[in-house]
Amino acid sequence: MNVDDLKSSTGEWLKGVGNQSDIVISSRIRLARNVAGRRFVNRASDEERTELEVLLRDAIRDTGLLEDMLYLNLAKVEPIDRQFLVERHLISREHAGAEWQRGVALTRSERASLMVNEEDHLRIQMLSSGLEMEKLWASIDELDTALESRVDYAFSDKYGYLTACPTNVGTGMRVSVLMHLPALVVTDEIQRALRSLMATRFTVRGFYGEGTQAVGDLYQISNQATLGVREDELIGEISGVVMMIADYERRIREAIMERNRTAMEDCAWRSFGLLAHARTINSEEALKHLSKVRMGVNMGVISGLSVARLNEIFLWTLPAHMQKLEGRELDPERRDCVRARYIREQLAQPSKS
Amino acid sequence: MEQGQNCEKCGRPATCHVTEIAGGKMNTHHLCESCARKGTKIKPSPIEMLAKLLMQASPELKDLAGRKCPECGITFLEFQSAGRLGCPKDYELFEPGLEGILDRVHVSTAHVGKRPSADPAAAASRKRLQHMKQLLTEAVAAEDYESAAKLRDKIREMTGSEHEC
Repeated sequence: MNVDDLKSSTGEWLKGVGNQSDIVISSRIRLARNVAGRRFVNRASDEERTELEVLLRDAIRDTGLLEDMLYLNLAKVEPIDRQFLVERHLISREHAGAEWQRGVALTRSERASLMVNEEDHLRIQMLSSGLEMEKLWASIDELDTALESRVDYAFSDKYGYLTACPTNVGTGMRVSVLMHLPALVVTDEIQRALRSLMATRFTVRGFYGEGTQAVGDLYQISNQATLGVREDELIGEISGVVMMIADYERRIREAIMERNRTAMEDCAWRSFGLLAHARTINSEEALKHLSKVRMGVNMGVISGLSVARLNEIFLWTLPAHMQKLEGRELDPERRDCVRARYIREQLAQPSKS
Repeated sequence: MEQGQNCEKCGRPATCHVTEIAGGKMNTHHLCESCARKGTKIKPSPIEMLAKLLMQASPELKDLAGRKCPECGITFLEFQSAGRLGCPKDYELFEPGLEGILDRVHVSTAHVGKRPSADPAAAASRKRLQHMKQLLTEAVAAEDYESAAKLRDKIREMTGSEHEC
């Protein structure tokens, strides 16, 4: 299996299925781990980084838990393929751009990805479509325990798993949930929803774009503290918080449908019309209108189009994906034309589901 | 937004309330009109900011600034500017400086949650295995293939027996 094999899929987090999938796009858990007695990646020598890469690669392989595993030494992967992996959320932007020996182990389903020599020696990540925190925790815990029987982790009785950045120490666990909240945004209720989160241990940020007006109405909820809070507590709490926000979004959607159905239909169909006919479109504008169309699909206003299909369109109009699709490098201007053409073609086809 | 706040820059009554979401955090800033006009630029790293505050508040911690880790060579000052520690040992070495930071960022300064297996036999075998793998890497690097083959067989034996239980 190589990077090109991933071209035939859209990845786990964009499947558009699972609990609360009308509002929750995906769930993610990551654990930060380091090898005992070794310097952290930023202070390690090139030789140490190479040794660590081999040690962790073999340990991951030895667990036998990753089905159809692909291991990539990123120093040998082309920049365009690294960008492709970033767009799929399989590696971080920093990991793609680093200049030392590093790697990533992936499963074909794209559910698991283990970054070796990112900020920490090991970053174990599991992704799932919809709100699936308990299942994700069970799988990542099993994988982590299997690795722990092969690698001596840096651990302190007092501070837990030791990490390069003190903001990750303790459980080393970050849980995050990506939510689509168009009704809260359009009615300006989003500020109130976000403020209610301040009483919890979770923070929120716009997924794309700057400031409070997130592009594509996508918001990511995640925990900040990793020390002094147990994994199962966090899992339970984030699920509760996400369901509360999802309920809020759903109530507003219903209220809009009752009071202002025409405006809602107009908004969704205008975006559909724009996407179906534009001759040039940048990714921000595409994301903005895909969000409105998704809202229309989820609210039963637009039929004959599935969320999974919209996700596919969204993914394949990201820069590296489009260049993979075209099989050549594209300058930004050309990219906008190719993107518009691709979206037109996709929306003209009858839906697969 | 709360009323009656004072400007966080100059202390005059705040009339502008800015909510900013960046780097996974939501921050609210209260500013008077003139400070707001000057623009709000948020400091780059919360760790850096907290560390600086801590140093100001506790001058006795200043001796930490020059402390250097014998394992990785990092000083507390370097940690403060980079926001990243150099090795697991730094948590002990810089403990007086880290406690305040950890306390502000986290729920408490003591770990609760998952721990590595407490079974000492399992831990010892894990360490042995890791050591043998290290030796194997060195043997391959030194092109000592005879030793490497022996080590590889031993490692296989060890991991094989682990699979069975």
